Amino acid sequence: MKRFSVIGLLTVLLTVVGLVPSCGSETALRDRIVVTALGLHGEAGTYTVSVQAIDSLKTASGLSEQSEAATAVYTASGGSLSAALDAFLEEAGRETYILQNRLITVSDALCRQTSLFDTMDYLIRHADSRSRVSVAVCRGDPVAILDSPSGNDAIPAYYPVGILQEGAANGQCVMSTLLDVRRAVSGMADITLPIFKVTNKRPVPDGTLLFRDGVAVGELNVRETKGLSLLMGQAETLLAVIDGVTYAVTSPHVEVDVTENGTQHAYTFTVSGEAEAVETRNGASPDVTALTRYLTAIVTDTLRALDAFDCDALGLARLTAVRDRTVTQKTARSQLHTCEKAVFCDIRLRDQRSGMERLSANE
Amino acid sequence: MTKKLQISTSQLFWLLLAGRLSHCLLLPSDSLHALTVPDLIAVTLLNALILLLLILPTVWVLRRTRQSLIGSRLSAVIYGVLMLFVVYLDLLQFTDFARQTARSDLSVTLMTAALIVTGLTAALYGIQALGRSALVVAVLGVTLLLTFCVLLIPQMRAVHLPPAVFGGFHPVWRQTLKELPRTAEIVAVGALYPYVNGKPFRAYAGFIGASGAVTLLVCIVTAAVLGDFAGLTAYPFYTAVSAAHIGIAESLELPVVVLWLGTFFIRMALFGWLFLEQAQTIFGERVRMPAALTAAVLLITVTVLTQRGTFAGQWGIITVLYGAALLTVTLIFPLCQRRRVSS
Repeated sequence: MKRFSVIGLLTVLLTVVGLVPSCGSETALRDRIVVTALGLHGEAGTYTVSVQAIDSLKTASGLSEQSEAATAVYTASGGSLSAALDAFLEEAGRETYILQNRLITVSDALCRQTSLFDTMDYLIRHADSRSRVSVAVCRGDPVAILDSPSGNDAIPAYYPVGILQEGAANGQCVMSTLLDVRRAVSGMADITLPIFKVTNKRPVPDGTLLFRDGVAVGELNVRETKGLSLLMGQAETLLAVIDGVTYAVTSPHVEVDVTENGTQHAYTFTVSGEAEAVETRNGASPDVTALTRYLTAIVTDTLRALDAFDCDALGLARLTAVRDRTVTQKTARSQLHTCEKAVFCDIRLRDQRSGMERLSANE
Repeated sequence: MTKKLQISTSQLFWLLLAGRLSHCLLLPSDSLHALTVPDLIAVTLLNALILLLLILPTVWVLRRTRQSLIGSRLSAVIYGVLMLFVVYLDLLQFTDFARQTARSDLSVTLMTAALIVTGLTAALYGIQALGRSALVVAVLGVTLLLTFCVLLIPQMRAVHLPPAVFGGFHPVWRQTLKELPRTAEIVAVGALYPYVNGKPFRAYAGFIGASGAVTLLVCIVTAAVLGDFAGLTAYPFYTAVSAAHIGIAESLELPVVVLWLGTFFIRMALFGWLFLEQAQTIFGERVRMPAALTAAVLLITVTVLTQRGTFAGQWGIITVLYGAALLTVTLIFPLCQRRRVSS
């Protein structure tokens, strides 16, 4: 029994060692660069790939001490992403290792010319391409994002990813991962990607790019992005300044109800959450009606913009098909942009000074 | 002839379940394709019912006599070939997985050879050693599987589950027939029965129920995480697990591979041991080591030569071959045995 257990254990261990990345082939560590962010640029047929990577040879005494020197941005071109990475391998003689990749940025121009699914096909299908990698769009060449200062992060890619995470939490942007892109490939919902612009060498969120079947169809501005963040359930705290009062809506949540309305479906969005007036100016007093009106307006505007671009970012067609068995997702999708959509708010506003709570009243 | 080396009912249960977990972890994409949760439940229940019906003749015949179904050398040959065929199918899936998902630059041939050699070496230690080891592997396997499912909860959405489509009963029936050959343990019922002390039927019934529940759980979790993308990727549960993480530990696919190899090892050893038992019935006591060596060489050669193409692409012919073998050992063998005992 003991001998048997030892054999079994050793087999499993040896096999696992064989499967551990970097031990599965004869590629030495010095022949690899560890990719931390990827930027895709160019046009259909000629892709330029910017690779932010850690040079393993320069990390001998610790990454945190040598972040500036150890990471660099490399560029290569090819007919596809895969071909560009192959070209990089030929030119630099170094193999890319993408398991540690944190961010994929695609230029907005490329998104408007080619299907995102075609552009990212290699990353969507590659087993080493992790589902939790953030995906974003960049105005101009993504190399500007990849080359931006790293802030306090040892790995530069952590900085834009941190901006995305914080932005998504407070409604400044929506966050999308490779898993969302993979889900979108199967047609469940349309993908939306946050847009970065570079100001003073720093990446700043600048709206949302909308896709329909993988092709960029339009943009949401900062205000509509806030509404989308609310609708997608990503925002943890939403700040709103209305008539000199700054409100913080915590744990906002949107409930979607689907009802049959003749030949079409009608959607009711109910925004709920707790709000607090965190700052007042010039003697202004918190007003729950004003806050309700504001939230209703940004959600309504966002839904209108989504309908205008016929983008099903919220997966409403799928939801309709799940809730109503008499309709297929395809039929629901074709009717979606013309369906009636109503927005209601159920906000509880706490007044810190008086200690009173006020409930929203929908108009 | 009643076998001397025996395992308990619970050991048989864990032995079968440990082997079955390897299938759950490498769930093929067609297990989820366009199936709603009610469909999946229906497939699981129907599959369990058919499996129970398939083992009933064997259990009914062997319950009285407690003898091996292998009364003649011909049936031992059929059983022996069938056991090797099951091992070959598992290896084919392993090579497919290693090439498509785990590491594209992995030496698949070397890995296959290592698995065959160690699996058959373990088989030489006998059913009792296997039964005891299976308990550890299966408990660890189920625990880890449940942990993965819990970690994936934040990624799950009810809306990702496929909407109901009025396809009638046809998709359920088609999927049940597809799933049936994947429960390869069922062909070993007759061969294993004489080695079990107690009430083997309970172990088989428990195994069918537990493996159905685990498969159903894995299917629902995978569909809730990936949605329709589950049908577009070769090994969806493996892909779904790549979205899970605990703190700084991000590559949770690796524990899946470790767990899968552990369960796969038990499964290979079990079927390898059954093959050696048939070889012993045909050629005598001292043939185990040469038979193991011959089987190893044969399996390595055949697997390496036929590993081109995708596993899914080969599944059609495999189903036909396996279906014929399944009916032979679960229906024809018990009938022959019954006649022999009566006469």
